[in-house]
Amino acid sequence: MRGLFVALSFVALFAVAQRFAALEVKPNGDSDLDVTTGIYTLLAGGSISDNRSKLSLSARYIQYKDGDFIRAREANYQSPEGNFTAATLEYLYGPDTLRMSGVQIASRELKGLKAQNGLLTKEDILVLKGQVSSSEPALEASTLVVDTNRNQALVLGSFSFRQGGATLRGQQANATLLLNFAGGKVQANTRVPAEVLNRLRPFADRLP
Amino acid sequence: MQRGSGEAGERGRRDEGGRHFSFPLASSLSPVLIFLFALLFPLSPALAQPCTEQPYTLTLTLEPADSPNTPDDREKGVLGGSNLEYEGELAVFSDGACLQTQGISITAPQIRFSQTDGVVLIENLEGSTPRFRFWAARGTVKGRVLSVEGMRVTTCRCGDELRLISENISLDTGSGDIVLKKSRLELWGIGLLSFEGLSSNLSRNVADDFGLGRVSSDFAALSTLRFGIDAGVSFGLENLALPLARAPGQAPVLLTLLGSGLGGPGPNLTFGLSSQQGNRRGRFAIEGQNSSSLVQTPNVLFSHDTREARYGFRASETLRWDNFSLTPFGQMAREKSEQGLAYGAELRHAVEAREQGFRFRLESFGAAVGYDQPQFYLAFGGRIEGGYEGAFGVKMAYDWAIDSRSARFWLERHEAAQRFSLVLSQGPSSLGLEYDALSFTSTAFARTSARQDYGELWLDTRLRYREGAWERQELILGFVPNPLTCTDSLSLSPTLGYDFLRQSVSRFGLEVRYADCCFVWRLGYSEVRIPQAGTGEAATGKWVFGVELR
Repeated sequence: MRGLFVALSFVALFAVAQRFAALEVKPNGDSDLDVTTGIYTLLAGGSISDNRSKLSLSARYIQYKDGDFIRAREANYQSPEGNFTAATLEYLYGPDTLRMSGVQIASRELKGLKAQNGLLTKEDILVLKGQVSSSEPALEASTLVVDTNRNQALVLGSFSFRQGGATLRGQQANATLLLNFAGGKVQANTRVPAEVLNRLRPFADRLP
Repeated sequence: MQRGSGEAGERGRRDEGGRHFSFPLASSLSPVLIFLFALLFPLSPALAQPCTEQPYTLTLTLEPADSPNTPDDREKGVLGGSNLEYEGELAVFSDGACLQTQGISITAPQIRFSQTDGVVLIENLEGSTPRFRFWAARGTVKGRVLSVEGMRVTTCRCGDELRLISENISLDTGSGDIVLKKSRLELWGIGLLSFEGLSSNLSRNVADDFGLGRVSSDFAALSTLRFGIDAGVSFGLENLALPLARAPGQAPVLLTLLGSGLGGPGPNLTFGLSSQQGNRRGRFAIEGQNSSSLVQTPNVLFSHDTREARYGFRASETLRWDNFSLTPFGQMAREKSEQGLAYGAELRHAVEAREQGFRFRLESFGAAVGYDQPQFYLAFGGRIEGGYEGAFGVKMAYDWAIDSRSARFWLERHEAAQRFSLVLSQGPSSLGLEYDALSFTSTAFARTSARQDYGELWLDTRLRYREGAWERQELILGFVPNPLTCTDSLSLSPTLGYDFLRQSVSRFGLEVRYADCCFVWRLGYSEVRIPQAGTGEAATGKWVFGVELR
């Protein structure tokens, strides 16, 4: 099969709410289908896209089972929530979640955002854990929960946040900081409304 | 009551480390005082943690953006508190907030920081520096300058029996310069002084501004307020710095007003003023029937002393090149019955070399003086100094001077000398030898001390041998306790001397120190039983009473 370019086109129909519902898969080179398990492996990588939900994933290595999972390495994932690059990426159809490691996110509000681990949930909540940092505004934290629909981000645990000549630090393990992004400004408040905390904090627990 | 409990906690912590006696009466009064204090000043809750360890902190750069220092090296201030709202332009710390900059810390219920104009706004604040505590209605910090209105300052560790009420204070946290405007000094609620302006510096002991500085551990040293019994009662102020408005770094004017021998055969009143700034100094004193003065600048000297019947005026100019200096002068003087004009010059030469711990210095001089009568005076001499400072110390010096013994006045006179001295030191121990070849006198001292947890024990041996006979063989033992750091504590400082030549106690003394919230009170008695040769002392007893700011 090596050296032979095989253009494969898959169209899968799942519930419309799913992130990846109608897939178009383009391998870069050799691909392999295990007929006993139904797992496709794109050995030289390739891309998977869903034109309906405007999602696309390209990676150096992709393994995928229709309706079950997509796994990728050195992946670039583009979505309306932002563009992600990750060392590893796993999309699970059942819970409709996207888990990433070594993730970097291009976002308008937090430039140069990266973390050791990330989780994008069905509700469009992005959870980042482990050496979370951004360059502008300069944020360093252990856990960040981003509500992409409401332009809010909740920092949990000790953090430092630098804007202009001032550096804000939360020094305790139970520190909280709510960032609201509006009109190009960032508003930070350490006193987080209970409603926001109760809504966002459980998402953080979903990423170990 | 939060404030009161904070005070009590503070005192509790202070008292833990001390090994001191305490007065049960004073201790039982403390809760009452604290309660009254809390009633009078219901201010912000004292934050138990340092500001940098508060749950939330905001670090600010206090120096302007065009400061020559790199951003990391610029002076920083830290705001902290339990809660923070920050919208990029205004940061509000609430539920107990604090501010910490170089050498100063402030707590308040709420602190606001406006990033737009770089100003920190604080109300109902309580602050402290290593030297004093203060309370104020309102304060702002802009750049490195803290400005406070409606301020009460105290150096007291608890309470504020000695306080300064000031309408306006500005403090430069970088340089430590502090300027107080429209201020009033109160002690036990009684106004002592009021003044329009006072300048000081955080690195300077506040006590120095009021002439209540700490004195050396030397038992006989007197502090500003002086009380003694020695052929009558001595009582008064000695070298009290007058709280006159002056620029930072400017030397204070010191006042002495002392009655001595009161109730004795020769009562005396001394009034004196003095000040010194660099190489300019001036002093004036009236002591009973006598008076003395000195005004000295690099070019002019005026001096008089009625006791010695001396009056003198000298004008001089110093010319320098390389290591040489030449000072031609002209003078008018009177000494006892002698009176006249003199003119002359002094030539000096000095070389100095330093290499690692070694130091060598050679200084020599020659003076030639003529008078308004056929007489001439010549003098020359010098000093050779060498030494080493390192793991141990050595200092050697040789002074010599020869003169024609024809000086008419004290102003131009250089006493003949031939003196050799050697001092060896290592750690707390030192050994010194001196030989005066003109008076055939050898003196020696050996001093050592042992530092303990509770203070320092010292031992001093003094010997003097003159023209083939011993004049002094004295051993002095003493103890200097650690400075009192706890309120309501006492310390004792005894001294005992023994004369081996006369086989008897030569001197003894005991000083008691007691610290209250604001002051350290000192009461001591010392007695010289056998006056020692070369010291100029007399066989008398002396009471000493002193008070210092804590």
